[in-house]
Amino acid sequence: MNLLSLPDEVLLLILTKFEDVYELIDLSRVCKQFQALIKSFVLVLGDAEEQSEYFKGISGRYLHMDQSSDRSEIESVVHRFQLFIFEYSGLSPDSTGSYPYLYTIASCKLRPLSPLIEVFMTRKGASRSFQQKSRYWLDYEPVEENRASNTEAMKFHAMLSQVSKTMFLNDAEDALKTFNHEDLSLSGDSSMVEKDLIRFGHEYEFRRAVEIPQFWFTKSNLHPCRFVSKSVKILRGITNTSMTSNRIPPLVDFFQGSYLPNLEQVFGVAIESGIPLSMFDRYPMLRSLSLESAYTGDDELFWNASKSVTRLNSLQELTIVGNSACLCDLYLPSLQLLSLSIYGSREREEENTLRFERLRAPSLKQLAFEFTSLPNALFNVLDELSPVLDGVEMCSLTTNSKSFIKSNELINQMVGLKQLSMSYNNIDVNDIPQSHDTLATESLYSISPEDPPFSLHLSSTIEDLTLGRFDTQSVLTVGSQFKQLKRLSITLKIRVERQDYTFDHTHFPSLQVLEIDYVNLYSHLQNCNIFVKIDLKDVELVFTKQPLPMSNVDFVQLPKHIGVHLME
Amino acid sequence: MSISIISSDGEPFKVERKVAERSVLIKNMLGDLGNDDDDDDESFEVPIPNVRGSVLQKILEWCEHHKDTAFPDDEDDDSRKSAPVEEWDREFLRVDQEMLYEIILGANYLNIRPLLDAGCKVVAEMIRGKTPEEIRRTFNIVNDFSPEEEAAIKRENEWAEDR
Repeated sequence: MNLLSLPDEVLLLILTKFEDVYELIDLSRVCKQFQALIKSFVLVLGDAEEQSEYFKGISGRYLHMDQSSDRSEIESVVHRFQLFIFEYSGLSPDSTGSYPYLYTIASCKLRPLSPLIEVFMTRKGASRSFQQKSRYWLDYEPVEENRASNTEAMKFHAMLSQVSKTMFLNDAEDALKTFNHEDLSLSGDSSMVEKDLIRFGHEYEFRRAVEIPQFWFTKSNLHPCRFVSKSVKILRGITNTSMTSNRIPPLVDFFQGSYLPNLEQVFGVAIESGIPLSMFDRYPMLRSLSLESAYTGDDELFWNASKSVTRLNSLQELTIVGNSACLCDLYLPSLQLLSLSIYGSREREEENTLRFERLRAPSLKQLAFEFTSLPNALFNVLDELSPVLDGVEMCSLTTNSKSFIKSNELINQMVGLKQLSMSYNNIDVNDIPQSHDTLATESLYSISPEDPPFSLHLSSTIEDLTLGRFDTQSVLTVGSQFKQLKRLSITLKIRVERQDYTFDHTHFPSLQVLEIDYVNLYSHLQNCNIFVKIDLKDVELVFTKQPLPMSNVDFVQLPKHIGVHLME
Repeated sequence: MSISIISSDGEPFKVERKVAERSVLIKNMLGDLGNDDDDDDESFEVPIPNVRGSVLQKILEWCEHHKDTAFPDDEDDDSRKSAPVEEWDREFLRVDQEMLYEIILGANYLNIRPLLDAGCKVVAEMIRGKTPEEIRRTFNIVNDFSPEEEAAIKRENEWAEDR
C-alpha cells in the first residue's frame, strides 16, 4: 500500500494542507494524479482576458474578472475551489487597484482560511494598488454617527484579511521604485510620489527589491505579516497601524516570522522597552539597526529582560531613540556605533527608564548619547562601557551639566578620542522628575559652586571638538595645548562678566577651522561682552547662527578666510 | 452500555459507548437503532468490515485517549485546518507508512474527523520541503510523466526555481 492507494477524497485532504504555490508546483510535478487533484482545487482569476503561463500547471480554471462581472457567476465558480490566485495587471483605465477584486473574491469564498493570493503582474498594476488609499483604510472610528461606515470598514477589513500573500511577477516589483525619491527626480514623474507603502499585513514575497520603503500595515485577522525575500537588504520602517489593538507584538512577530537572509539595515521600528533583541538574531547579515523604544508600562518585561545573552554578530550600528530603553545581556562583537537618545519622564523614576547592563561591544569606535531628565544615565552607560572606552574615536554627548561633572573621569578614559562633541541639553524645570525634595532633585541636574569644574585631559589627541552651550572656559583652559585640533566649534554663552578668548598658534598649532557663535539669554540687559583674539593665519573662521560683532574680534593675524554660515 | 466493535478479521473490541461514539459512523448507527445510554447492562455489537483488527485497536486507542477531548465543530473547517497536530497525536502516528495509511483510511471510514485530519497533516509534513523526486522516493510513487511532458513542465515552472 502506498500513498496513492488512498482514495482521492483523502489525498485531496492531504494536498489542501499546502498553501504555498511553490510547494503546489513541486507537488504537481510528482505524478499525474497529484497534478489533477491540485488542479481540482486551485482557481486562477485575473483582470486580463487570458491567464498568464505562471500558474497553468496547478490551476483547473481561469476566471476573467472585469468591473462588470456578474457576482453570481463568480460565486458559482469560486464555490467549487479552495485556493485562489488573483493575477492583477491594472489593465482597465479606471481601475482603482487590486482591492475591489480581492474583496469580491473574498466575499464569495466559502471559507475565510482558503488561501487568496494576490499576484501583481505589471508595474502599472502594482503602482495603481499602492496609490489607492482606500476610504476604509483608517481604523474604525468609534464615533456614533459614523456607525454605518464603521460597519462597512469592518467588513472590508474582514474580507481583505483573507488575502494570505502578495507576489510580484514580471516588472511589477519596479513599482516599489516609485517610493524612491531619487528615481522620481530622474523620471520627473511627480504624480507618482508616495512616501510610504500602506497595505494590509500578510506575507509579501519580493524577488528583486533591495530596499522596501516605510511600510504601514493593518494587521490581518488571519495571516501574520511577514516578508520573504533573498534580495531585500534595507527596511525603511515597519509600522502596525492598528488603533484597536497593541501595535508592537505584530512587529515582533514580523521579525520572528520573516525570511530575509540578506537583510543589512533596519530603520524606524518600534519596540517595547524590555523586548530582547534576540528577534534580530535570525538575520545574520544585519549591520545597522535603528529602533524606537517605548515604555508601555510593562514593568515585568522591563525588569525581566532576557536572561540569556543575545549575540548579533554582524551588527555595526545600533541606534535607539525613545522614552525608555532596556539594553541588557548583549554581545555585539562588531558594533562600532552606539547611539542612544532617551527622554525620561517626570512621572517615572530613572531606574525605570533606562537599563543598560551586561553589554559587551569590544569594537566600539563611536558613541552618541543624548539623555534628557536622566541625570545618572551618562555615568551608568559610560561606566558599563568603561572596558572599551579607550578604543572610542568619536563621541557626542548631550545631557545636563551635572552629568558631565559626574562622568568627567570616564570621559577622560577615552584616550583614543579624535572627535568630541559635548552639549548641555536645554532642560526645563518641567522636565525634572517631581520629588518632595525639589532642591535635592535639582542638584542632580545643575552644577553647584562646590562642584569641581569639568576638565578635559584629552587636549593633546583630539582633532575635532564641538562645545555647544557648554562650560567652554573650563575646557579651553588657558595653558592647555590642543596639538592635534583641526576643527573647533563653540557656542558661547553670554554671562554678566566679560569673557575673553585667545586663539593662537601656541595653543592651537594645527587649527584649520574655527566656528563660533553665541547665545544671549539676557539680550535685553546685556550686549555681547565676549571678546576674541585671533592670532592664527592659516585658520578658516566661520561664524554660525549668531556672529560676534566684528568690533569684539581682534585679528592679530588675518585668518585665511572669514565666513558666515546662517544655519537657520 | 458497552459496545463490542468487530474488526474485518473478526476480532472483537469491547469499549464504552463514549469511546465508540468518537466515530460519527458508530454514533449515528447507535442513534438510528434507538439505543440510549441508560441501560448499563445492554451490550451492542458493531461490525466494521473495512478495518482489520490491528488497525482498529490503534484507532480505538486514539478514541480512548480523546474520549473527553472537545474538538472544533466538524463544520468548522478553518479551525480544524489551522490547528496544529497535538504532541500526543504526533507520537501516536509515529508508525510505519502502511499502518499510517490504514489508520487514515479507517478514520475516514469510521468518520473520525480529528484523527483523519491529524493523519493527513502528518503525511503533509512528511511531504513538505521535499523535491518531486524525493517525494516519489519516500512514498514509492512512479513518475508517470513522459520525458517530453516532464521537460515541458520543467520549462513552464522555471520561474519558480528562481526565488
